Amino acid sequence: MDNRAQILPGTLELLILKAVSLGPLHGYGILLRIGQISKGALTIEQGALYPALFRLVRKGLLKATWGISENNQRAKFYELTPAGRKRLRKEMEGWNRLVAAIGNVLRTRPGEL
Amino acid sequence: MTIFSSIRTLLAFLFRRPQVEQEMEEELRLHLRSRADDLEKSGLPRAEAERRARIEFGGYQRYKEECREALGTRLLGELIADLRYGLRQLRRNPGFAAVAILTLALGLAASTAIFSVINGVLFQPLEYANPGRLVAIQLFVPEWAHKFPITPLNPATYLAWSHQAKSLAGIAIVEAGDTLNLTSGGEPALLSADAVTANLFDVLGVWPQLGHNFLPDADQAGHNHEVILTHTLWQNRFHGDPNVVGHTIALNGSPYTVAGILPASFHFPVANHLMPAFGPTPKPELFVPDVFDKDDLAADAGFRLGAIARLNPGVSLAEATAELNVILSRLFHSVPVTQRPRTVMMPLRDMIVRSSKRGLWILLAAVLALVLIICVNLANLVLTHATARGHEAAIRSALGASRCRLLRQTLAETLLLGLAGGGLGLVLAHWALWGLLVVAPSGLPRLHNVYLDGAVLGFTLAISVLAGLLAGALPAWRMAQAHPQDALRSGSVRTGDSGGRLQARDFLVGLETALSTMLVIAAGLLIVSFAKLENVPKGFAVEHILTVNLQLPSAQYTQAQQRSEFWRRVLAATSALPGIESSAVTNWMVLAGEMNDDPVNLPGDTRPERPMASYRRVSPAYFKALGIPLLRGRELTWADVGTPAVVISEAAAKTIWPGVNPIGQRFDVDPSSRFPGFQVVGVVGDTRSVTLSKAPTPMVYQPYHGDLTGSLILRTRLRAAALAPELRRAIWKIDPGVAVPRIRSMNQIVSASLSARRFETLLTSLFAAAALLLACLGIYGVVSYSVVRRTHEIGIRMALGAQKADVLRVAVGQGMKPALVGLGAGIVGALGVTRVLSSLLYGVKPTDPLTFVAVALILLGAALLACYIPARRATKVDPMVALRYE
Repeated sequence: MDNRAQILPGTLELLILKAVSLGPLHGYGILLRIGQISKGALTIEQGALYPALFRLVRKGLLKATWGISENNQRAKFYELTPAGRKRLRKEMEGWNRLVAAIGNVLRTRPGEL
Repeated sequence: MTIFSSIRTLLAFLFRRPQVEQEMEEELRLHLRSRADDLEKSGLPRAEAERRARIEFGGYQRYKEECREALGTRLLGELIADLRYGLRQLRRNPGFAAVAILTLALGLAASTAIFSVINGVLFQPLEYANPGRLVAIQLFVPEWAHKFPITPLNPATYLAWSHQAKSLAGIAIVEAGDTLNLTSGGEPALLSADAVTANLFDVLGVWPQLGHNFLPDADQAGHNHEVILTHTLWQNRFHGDPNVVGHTIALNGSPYTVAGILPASFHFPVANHLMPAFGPTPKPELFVPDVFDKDDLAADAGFRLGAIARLNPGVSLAEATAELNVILSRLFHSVPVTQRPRTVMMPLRDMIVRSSKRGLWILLAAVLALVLIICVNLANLVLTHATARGHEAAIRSALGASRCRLLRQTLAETLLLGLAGGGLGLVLAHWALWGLLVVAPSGLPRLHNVYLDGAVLGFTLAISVLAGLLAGALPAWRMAQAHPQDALRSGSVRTGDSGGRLQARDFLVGLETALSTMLVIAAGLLIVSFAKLENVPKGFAVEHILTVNLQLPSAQYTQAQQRSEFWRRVLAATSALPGIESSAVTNWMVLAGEMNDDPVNLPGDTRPERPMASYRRVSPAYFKALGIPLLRGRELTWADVGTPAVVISEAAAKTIWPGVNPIGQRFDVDPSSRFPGFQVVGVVGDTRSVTLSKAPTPMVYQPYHGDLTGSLILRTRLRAAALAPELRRAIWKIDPGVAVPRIRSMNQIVSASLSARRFETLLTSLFAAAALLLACLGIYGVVSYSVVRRTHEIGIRMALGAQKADVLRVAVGQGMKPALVGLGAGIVGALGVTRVLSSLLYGVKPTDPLTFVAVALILLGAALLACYIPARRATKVDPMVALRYE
């Protein structure tokens, strides 16, 4: 069985925010960053990245500026806005709470209740 | 997401749409290229690397679309695409587009023109200062209510109100319809003047363009020698000379100082727009101060005044009315409570447009019904094309186009048609409005306010959009119903329509027929009314009668004897003119309104409602000149002047002395007998000399004597233009200071009294005719369409032995079925709706069976014709050709 996990719906935006929080990136760079920090454990269909990026820009969580990429090509770079940073913090707390809660549920053994 | 960012993207999209698209493309391409580069580095050949990169990326177009959606621009983009698509469809069918746009444009032009009249007359504020606080005041007098629901007020009432009312900032009196002889500068001219209290222009908040308003005491006896001229009179008579201000002019032989010139923008309502009981009067050309006679100050005398008042800030109409009623009940404390006059107060504008309102709204309703019919017709046309396009729709739906998108595309097409029609309509409206103003009745108030302004543009835009959407609604809905399977099935076999589409077209044709039926019935009722009114037995001669109004200068003719002498000499001189058969004079011209009505008081009559009669003074030849027959007793002679002798009309005889010989009977105007009593010496035929639309009023004819004003009535076969110089010479020989204004024929007077009805009837008939034509086109379309679609079937039928008559019957039936249903529905609808016309009708009930039957027959005939023409083509189908049709 494939040990790579499909990402949960709705978490893509969280991943993007996290990836960008480490420094401005262009679209392909975000993809690489997510692959790199998850050590290839998370896969996303690459095209799905862009609608999510556009949505985040529209929500004012990301800022997009045109710049020059590492291989000297014109590329659009995304970075967090203050609102984006705040959102990331909130989402991360929410996520950790959720994971902890679900983890507790899953660890429950018969007789413990 | 913030509103600003949405707006920014939207603006960016609108103005930099190609750039946004291009940047999106660039970003995605960069991704693919970078990925392919990486894959290549890991050892794949370039072509394979690019292929893998594309696969990993997923649906390129799909994500692009999602990006657009994320940008919030997809909807707009699609909308623009839909409009483009619509435009392309229209360009592909230029004939259809032209017909659609032209019919829409004509309908919208007509409705725009009529709406601009409504807007100018009913909606625009009056052009006085703070017009919302201006009110018109009249009285409701229970005793006269059966005849005049609204009565003018009198000096006593005015004085009480102006001294006591706290809710009014000011109240001004208008005594309208006076005529004055202007003798300074050139030939004498007869001017129409309003006598007003000195505060009128202060109440209105209008200042003269030159000079000053009346001084506060200008309406006090002895000070009343100032006059204010309208701009028109100043231009026409004084050539716009500013030096005329402060100068003296002679009016009725008395000197008046010109106090001021009103601005050109000043318009003032004519008498019957302030006082509904009045007849039509010309527009006032100048204003003189009104001075009340001492005789007129009694509480029950002189009900002939109009009043304009300004409410104090914060006072409502109801509060002011209540206060004035309290003052009235003090003034009329001797009258039983139920018989006391009450206040009738309404915003000044409402009073001015009161009589024209209903007619205008009905015209708007009629023209909107016509626009609706045009929409239905258009829907029908679009549906025909939609059949051809149904195949395309089904294929697109099979390829994944959403229903919503299909719906929008059809709507976009009709919307474009609507807007194009509206645009062209606006251009045509310019001429339509011009034509409308040419035929508009002179009695329609405030026509100077009518033009195409922002409100009218808004109306036209709204109606165009609405028309476009309405025309597209049904076809769009049908289009969205397209099933992919249908496309695949119907592609090969021409079986004609699915049942649903035919039903939709039948429905539209039925609807169209129903609406046209209603419109034609309305027009029919108006036409019948008009014809009846025009041909109603009037009781007086209309042909070969010329009339002219004369006014004696009051300063020279102070004695009744002098005036009497003048009129006798004029009558003698005019009857001696060649071509004049007889010549008479009256103080109150026929069809000049009801203002000379007074009660008839019999000795010992205790009825609470005394009979009313119209009193007028006539010279002996009056009955002969107007062809009014003598029924009993004798006519009046000059010897009757100064005696109680009067002649009454038959209606008066019947209502006042039913079953009794009226000759020799005595009566009085008033129980208090301030006037000498009357004695009946003769009875003459009835005339509709008050208004044509009411049954003959009881008339009392008194002998004519020393009046200052009079209308000459000349029976002659001469034309007015031929008579004018002779007449002028004859009158100026007697007194060169008397103005001889325009001669009017009785025909003109009768025609003018019907002008509002003529206007409404003419326009409604025009709309109805257009509606009928459109309905016929609709029926024609249905039948000819079905004949074409069924050529194959008809061919088979004929090959199998069907007769031409059978084919004809089937084809005609196809069109007549929806037409008959529509006709029935229209008749039922008309039964419910024509009631609103009742106040415009004369001599027919709103449900007049004869009109309904006649209209039904007309529509039936037209529908049959519309069916027959295309159906005949069906009978000419050659079976062999038809079978080879596939």
